Amino acid sequence: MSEAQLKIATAFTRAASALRIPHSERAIILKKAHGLEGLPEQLLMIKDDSPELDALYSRFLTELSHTDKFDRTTDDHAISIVHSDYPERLLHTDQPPSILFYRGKCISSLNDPFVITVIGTRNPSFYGLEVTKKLCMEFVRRGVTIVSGGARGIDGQAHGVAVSGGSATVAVLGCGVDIVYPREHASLFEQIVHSGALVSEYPFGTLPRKYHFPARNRILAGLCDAVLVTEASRFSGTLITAGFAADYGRDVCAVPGSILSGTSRSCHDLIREGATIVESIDDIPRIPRHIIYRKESSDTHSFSLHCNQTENEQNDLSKEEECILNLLAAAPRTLRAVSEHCHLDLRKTALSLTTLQEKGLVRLYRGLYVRS
Amino acid sequence: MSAKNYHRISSCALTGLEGVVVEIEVSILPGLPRFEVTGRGDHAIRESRDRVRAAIRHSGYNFPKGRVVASYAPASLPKQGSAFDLPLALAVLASSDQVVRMAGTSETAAFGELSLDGHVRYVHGALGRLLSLREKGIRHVIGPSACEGEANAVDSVRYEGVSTLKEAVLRYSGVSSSKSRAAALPAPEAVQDLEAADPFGMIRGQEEGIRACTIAAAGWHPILLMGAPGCGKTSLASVIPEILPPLTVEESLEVSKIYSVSGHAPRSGGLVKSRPFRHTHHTVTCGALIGGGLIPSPGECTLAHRGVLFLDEVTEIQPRVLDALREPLETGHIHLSRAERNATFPADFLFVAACNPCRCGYLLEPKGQCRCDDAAVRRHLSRISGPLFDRFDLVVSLTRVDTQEMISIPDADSTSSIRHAKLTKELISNAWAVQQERASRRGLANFLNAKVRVPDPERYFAVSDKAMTFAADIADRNQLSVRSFFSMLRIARTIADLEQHEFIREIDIAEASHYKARLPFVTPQS
Repeated sequence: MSEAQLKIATAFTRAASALRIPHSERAIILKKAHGLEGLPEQLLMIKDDSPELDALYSRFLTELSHTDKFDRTTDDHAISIVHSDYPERLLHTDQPPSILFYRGKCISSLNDPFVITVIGTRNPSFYGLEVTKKLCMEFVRRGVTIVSGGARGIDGQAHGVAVSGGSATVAVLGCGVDIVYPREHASLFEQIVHSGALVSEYPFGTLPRKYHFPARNRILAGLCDAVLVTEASRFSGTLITAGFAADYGRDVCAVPGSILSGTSRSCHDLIREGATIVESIDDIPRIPRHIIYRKESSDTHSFSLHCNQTENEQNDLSKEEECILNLLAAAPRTLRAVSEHCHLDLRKTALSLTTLQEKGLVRLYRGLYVRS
Repeated sequence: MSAKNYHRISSCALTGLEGVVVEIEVSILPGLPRFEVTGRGDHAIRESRDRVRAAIRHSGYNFPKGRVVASYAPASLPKQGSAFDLPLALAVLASSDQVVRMAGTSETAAFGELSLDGHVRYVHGALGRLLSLREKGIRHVIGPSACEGEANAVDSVRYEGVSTLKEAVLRYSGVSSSKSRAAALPAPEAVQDLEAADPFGMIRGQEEGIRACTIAAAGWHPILLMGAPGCGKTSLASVIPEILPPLTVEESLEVSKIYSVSGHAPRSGGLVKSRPFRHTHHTVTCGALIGGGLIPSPGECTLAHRGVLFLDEVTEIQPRVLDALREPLETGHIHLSRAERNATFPADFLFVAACNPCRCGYLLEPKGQCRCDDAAVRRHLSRISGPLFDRFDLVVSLTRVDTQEMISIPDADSTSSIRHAKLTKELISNAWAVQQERASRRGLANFLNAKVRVPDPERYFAVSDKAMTFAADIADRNQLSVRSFFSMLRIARTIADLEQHEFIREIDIAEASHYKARLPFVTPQS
């Protein structure tokens, strides 16, 4: 991707957005121009047709003179709707973005046989994080590309699992791909760029805005075969994505949660309306059945070890430790709660918990002991 | 001493906690009637002229005619307060020959405030004043009778408590003298009057909290209590002074001196007998917490000396104010430098803090009511700076007690030894004795585990090799700082002292690490 094309793409998108030209019309112009290279000439040619397009051309020229400012890396690209690498699934939605910007090696993984979008709350419970981790690990083993929104919480967890499994993952953002939002995901985004891509319909330098995210959600729904909601409380934004997915004919899947905590209300609403209930990833329709290890690196090795770890070490545990592990599998607890339920005194419980932490079977999450 | 129209008498001013002997001279000069006071006095001292004039008239004496000049020496020292009323009145009367001292009377000092009708009022700091007067070799002091309780603690000084100026004049002239008082130090038994109700009686559940408070009390470890609103943090904190060993006689004197100077002396008079418990509101200012003022006066952390300083809602306190506590926590005293003078106050307190774990308060509740996201939790806890957080040896997470437990009466026999108040007190006293013995072998002044500073803590704390490896593993996994690592060893030592073991074992380390490695509550920012 040459720098000139990136500039043209940026200027065109900015100009068209400012003049509120819909994506369908932008797509027509791009098709006539046969991609980004021919765009300036095409715009020059059509500018006399109507006063609207005349405005677009002059706006385009002004924007083009402003595009010198942004820093681009070698990983930055723009891809128009006429390009052969443009994600196929997105073409079959009602408002496909005419130009997609991305940072990463390639986005061909979006044309894989099966792509899943995993979404959920930005403020997950321990249960939600664990569920996401478990299911995403399975996706990685099956070679399924995981798409998510790059947000805090469930999204971050899904990307994180994919990255640590050495699998390609795509984050669809509500801002330019050069903007890190949320800030704490800086290193996660770097890793995603390494193995997958950050994708956005917004040109470089666009700051996140509230109204970008519902629009972003239509891309999330459009890119995949199935949308999986792992945890979402009532009035969650994930319902917007699920709605788009249903409109586009994607499978909507949801993981049930506890009825006591109320952290999975939206999931239950989705199931009530006909979403597929997911306990293991085999519940998802048309999911590939074969386990594929994509990459035989040391990463994958430790990753697969991690999956089997609990079974291996189960053997040399004392009776108390087993009791504690079983208790913590259900819910996070404090020291006192553990000692009470297992009928141990505080000191012995502390010793057992410390030993279990050494073995990597227990860890602290938000000040409470949990099974890791 | 008393030339015609001149008289000199000693009194005592306060600077910080110490007294400074002040000489008051009065001279009657020819001239128009006037009453002047020189020697850097504050408003109260300038106003004392009117009180003294009125008190002299109402006691049946005459205020001398002519120009009366009083001088307070040393003139360079700023003086404040109303304690110079009584010596000034006595000097005025003596210089006008209305009091004649009998020959051979020893040097006498006086302090006290006068009312217009000639009564002598209470002033604070009697203990500090008497101690410094004694140091200067003055053995006879006249002062308010309300201060007799404090004065009783100072031996080899004849203190005569008076309630009117007239009485003071009689004592000063040597005509009448109160029946001589035997120098009676308070018997050590009198200090121990804490065998009251069961301190744990009001706490339901919370064994973990009680255990942590016991450890904190046994080793003088700073402790942070975290939990949902209403889970019993304040109740737990207020129990700590009651399970601490009672004040020794020297400590009691030390604390009483502070209380006397700052005007907090017990109303009944006498010495402070129970360990201080200072509970400050979270709007506390820097000056109020560590002390301050043009002439530095002690703050809350000095008032909590040898006792407990409890800061509730510690995350709501201004970070700047909180960080001011770092120095006293480390050194046990506070050094204040002000334009007029510097002062060093003792501030060896047991630091107890409490806060909610997050903005809504329910982060640690296992039922998951908390909806604060990681960033919000981090923001909330960042009000306590990292270095200060590091200084909390024990961080305890408490959860609410469920209703079943609340209505059941705690049964001292069944619910382990933790709840047993009398046993706990005994264990703590024993632990203190063990620590004292260990420190005396090395000749250390600060004997409590949290305060011990030695170059070889591993040897001093007697960590077994196995336990040391265990501790190192834990430190590795939790990425503990060096300070945190040794603070974990300190706690383990205290636990071993409570359990009366010579060597620190793995189980002690494990328990200590539980209180040390609570953070991060949230995943660290990448």
